[in-house]
Amino acid sequence: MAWFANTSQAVEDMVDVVFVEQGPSSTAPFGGVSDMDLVSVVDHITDLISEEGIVVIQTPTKTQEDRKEKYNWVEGFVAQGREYENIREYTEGEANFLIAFVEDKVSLGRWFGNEAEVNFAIRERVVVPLDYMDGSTMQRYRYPSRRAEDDFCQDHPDDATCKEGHGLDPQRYLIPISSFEVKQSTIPNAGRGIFMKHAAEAGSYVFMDDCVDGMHLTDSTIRLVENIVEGDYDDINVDIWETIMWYADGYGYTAEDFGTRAYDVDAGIGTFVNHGCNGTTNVGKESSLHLSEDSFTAISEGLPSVHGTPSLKFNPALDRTLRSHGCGENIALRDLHEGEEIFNNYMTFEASDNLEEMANSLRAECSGRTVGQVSQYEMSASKAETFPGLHHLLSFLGEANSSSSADQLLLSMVNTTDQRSSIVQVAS
Amino acid sequence: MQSRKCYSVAMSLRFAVLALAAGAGFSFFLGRMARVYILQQQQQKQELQRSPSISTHIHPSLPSPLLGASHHVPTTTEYTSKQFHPMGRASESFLIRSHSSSLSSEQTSLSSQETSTRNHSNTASRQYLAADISGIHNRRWLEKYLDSETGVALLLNELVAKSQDSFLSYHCQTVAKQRISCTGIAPHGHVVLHVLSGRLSLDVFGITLDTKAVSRIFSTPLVAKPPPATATATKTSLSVADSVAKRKHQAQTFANGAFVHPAMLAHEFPRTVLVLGGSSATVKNILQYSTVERLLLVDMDPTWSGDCHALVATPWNKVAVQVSTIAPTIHA
Repeated sequence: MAWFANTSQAVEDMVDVVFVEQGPSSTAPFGGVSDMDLVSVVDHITDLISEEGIVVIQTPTKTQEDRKEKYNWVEGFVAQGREYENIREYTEGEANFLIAFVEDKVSLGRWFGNEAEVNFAIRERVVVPLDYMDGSTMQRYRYPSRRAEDDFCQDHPDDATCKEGHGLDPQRYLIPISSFEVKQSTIPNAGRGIFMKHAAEAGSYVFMDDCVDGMHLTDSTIRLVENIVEGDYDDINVDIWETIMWYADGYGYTAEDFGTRAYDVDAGIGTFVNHGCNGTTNVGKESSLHLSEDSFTAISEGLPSVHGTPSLKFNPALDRTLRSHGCGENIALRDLHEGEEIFNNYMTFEASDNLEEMANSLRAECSGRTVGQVSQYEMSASKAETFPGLHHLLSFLGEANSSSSADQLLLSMVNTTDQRSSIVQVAS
Repeated sequence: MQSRKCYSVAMSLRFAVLALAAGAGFSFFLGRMARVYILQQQQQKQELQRSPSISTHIHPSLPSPLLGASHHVPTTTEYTSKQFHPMGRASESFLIRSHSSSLSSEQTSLSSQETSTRNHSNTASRQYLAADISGIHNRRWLEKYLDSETGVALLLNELVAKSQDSFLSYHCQTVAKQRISCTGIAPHGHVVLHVLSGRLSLDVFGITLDTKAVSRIFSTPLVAKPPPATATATKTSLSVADSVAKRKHQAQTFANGAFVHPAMLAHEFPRTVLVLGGSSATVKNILQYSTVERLLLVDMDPTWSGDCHALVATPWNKVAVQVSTIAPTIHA
């Protein structure tokens, strides 16, 4: 232990990647040092690791003792608080690995890079051709194995994801998209809202069919668009790229588990659901009932995130169902009556780092001091200058639509798959 | 007109019953005799080839199955055997410990080991080794091990002794004069040895077997590929012939790649890398990345005899890789 502590002092630069290779015995964390306190090892690693660093640990899982040691490692990382954003598990044959991403989620975003991105990275930085690794192989590691999920659920039977079982619950009622309609919202200056055409029971899935078809803008796509917007390209019309950013940011929400800048954008009319002020939320995640803009004060360790609670930074069961679980979380929080407007909790769409800013913004809107972006646009005298992104989006939509209202144009967008797709295709 | 003569037969009921009974009895007798003569004679022919309940033949010269020092015979062990009629010869030896009885009389010499330790390990290694061994010209070795069931059984015991495992039983059979096969059953695997005219096939499954130990037993090195055609006949060779063994090696390569590459590719620009307890394969995989400027190795695998200086002399690294020798076991 002493010599490893000395290592921390000997390392001048921050370490980008740490590999911990296990010995043949599960009782030896590495290299024959059998009695090392894993939490202390993680402490030292955390002292050394850079902000975008990655730690990989080879963890056998054959025996109960192996699994216990694996969870010791996980607890060691979780005990470091916000230092580690996400701990994942992946498998190759009988070999099992834990990979922990430090708070900066750039690395996590690259982890979810597509096959071509990985192959490009190999081309860029690997000199000797790799025998085995390529972009397709890397895709397999993005999801933990079913065995990892079973092990986790066996040891965490009370975990919400494990209780839900695999996939989406066939017994839970799914409110068809035809049961919703778009009308003028009951909230002043909020534009359109979504209303129930038929009553539905609490617990029913909401917007499920549209959600699974939602648009997912990956970290790399957003990075590409950002580079173009911020770059000095004379022959590129930056406006349309700003439009895409506005579309993702204005109508999507940050997909925290896929890196820094990934966005999910609802595909259908669900995107017109307004925020429920002062705890009036009636659809969405169950956790949204405990996260209200009016009572929100500051970021704390107890904040709900996509992962539910901070202790579930490591959750192979959830990691295997990130997208479907996200859609499945959208449920009716209470019985919904015919003609009732439904409200979501926008706080649950925001990255945890931006929650305070989001809470302040929503407070201003809820108190009537400000209005939403679309309403601001409609009331603005200089639309193109004040809201260039939205203006270009609406201009783009207006070319194929005779409507003049911003709301109507946006409604036509979400109702027309072709138009929605064309917005994204512009970027490609 | 000739009068028609009428005949009448008077038969008592008793006569009729007796006649029927006698007829039936005679028919049954004929059928039974036919069955005995035709079918059972055929069955007897088959019995000569297939003996359903041959009692276990304990060859007096065979060694006892080896019991590992830290192992004990499971109390639920049962041993059954069924075999063709031994036109050649077959013999076997076994350890049996049932609920009601202790070890059989043959294994009394092992009872002290059996009772001294109870730390039987259930961890089964799924090692799979298949090898063809030929070109052994050590006459004394051949006479000792390959000329008799006793010798092959000794080989089995030596293999198991090197693996720190146990045998529950083994079965040897001499099919032809120079063809001996022995199968040994271990708690979590098996060893099979086939000997034919001095050539030997080895099949090991589920038993942790050090290939170096195998090489020592057979006095021949273990090589991954068959010897080249130019090799002289006197050169002893041991070649891994089974593709499963190759796949195991391949799986290890894949696993090491899966350990290193995902993180090295997910990081935006990995300059400094720290390896705790890494093997040489890990180091080599890391040094395939041109971004790496500094590599810190802590507690390198002590069995690795590689030269770090050779590894760091990678032409693609603009900045020479610095190997920090922190732990005393590091080779640098």
